[in-house]
Amino acid sequence: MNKERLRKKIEALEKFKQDPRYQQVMGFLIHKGLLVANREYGFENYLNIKDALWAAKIEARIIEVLPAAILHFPKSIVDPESIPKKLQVVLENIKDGSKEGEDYKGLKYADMRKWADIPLKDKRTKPISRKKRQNNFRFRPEVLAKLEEYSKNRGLTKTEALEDLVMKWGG
Amino acid sequence: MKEILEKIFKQLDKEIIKRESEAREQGFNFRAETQIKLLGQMSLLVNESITTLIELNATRDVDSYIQSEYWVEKKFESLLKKEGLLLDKDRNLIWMPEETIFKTFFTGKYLTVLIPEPIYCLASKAIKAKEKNKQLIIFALLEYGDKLENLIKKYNGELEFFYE
Repeated sequence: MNKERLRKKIEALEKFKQDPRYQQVMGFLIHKGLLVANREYGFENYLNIKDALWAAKIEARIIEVLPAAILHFPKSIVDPESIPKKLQVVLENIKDGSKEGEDYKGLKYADMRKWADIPLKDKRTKPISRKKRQNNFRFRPEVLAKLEEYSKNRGLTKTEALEDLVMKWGG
Repeated sequence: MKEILEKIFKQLDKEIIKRESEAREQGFNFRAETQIKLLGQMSLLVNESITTLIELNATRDVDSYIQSEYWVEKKFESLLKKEGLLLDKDRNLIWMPEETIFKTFFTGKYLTVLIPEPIYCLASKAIKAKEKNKQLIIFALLEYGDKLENLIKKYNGELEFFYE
């Protein structure tokens, strides 16, 4: 056992962890309920992707929950242009509900995906599989009129009425 | 995290007691005795013998070996979910050294929860998930010395990886 080598490595790790960038990334992810730790970190409500990728050099779990952080808290991301292409692909796969996808920096797609789908303590967020996605449709006027009537009769919005009809299809 | 898991286990034990009583009244079979071996990072986070020594980070999944009725497992899963925790679906794939010593973390009327002595959990991580746990194992090697090093060597772990 080379204790001296270990001590040097630990000294370097401690210095890394003192860096405000590391502290801020960890603080954000812990405060948002994506990670837990046995020490306190300060919290500021933003996430810098570059800093997160850098901090992940010593804490790989940051990568595991990063897609969930980006998808659940997009307004907190200060540098969305810094999201690497490979990570963008992961994000798109998760948003599409794909069960399979590319691993990223040694972290399995399945592990990254599962964190996007758990309820967080911030009740404003929704598991990705329950998030609604926009789609535009064009209907003939008579179809729109019928949809209006259908939704009114059932006390539903037009979106709810369509959801209702689609989900009933096939039994 | 220790308090959260203790709360969950207390509630789980209460649910088992209730279920057992229902089983007796209604005449269906239900094996109330349940043992949960808490593993992985959560087992370290609840163990004061290591949390005072080493900084630990974890994702919110719970690894465990569960010996119980399926109903108990589902109940455990839903109690974890209420606290934002996930019961890891791959938990049965976790490998632990054969000489792992477990100690009691929680004892209820029917529920017993055990956690491994930290050194065995650390050896498991060093051997099976070395990249993800490099930082942790470096600190742990200094703390636990030759005993941890020998365990890693015994199971053909790549010790040099932590010195790079």
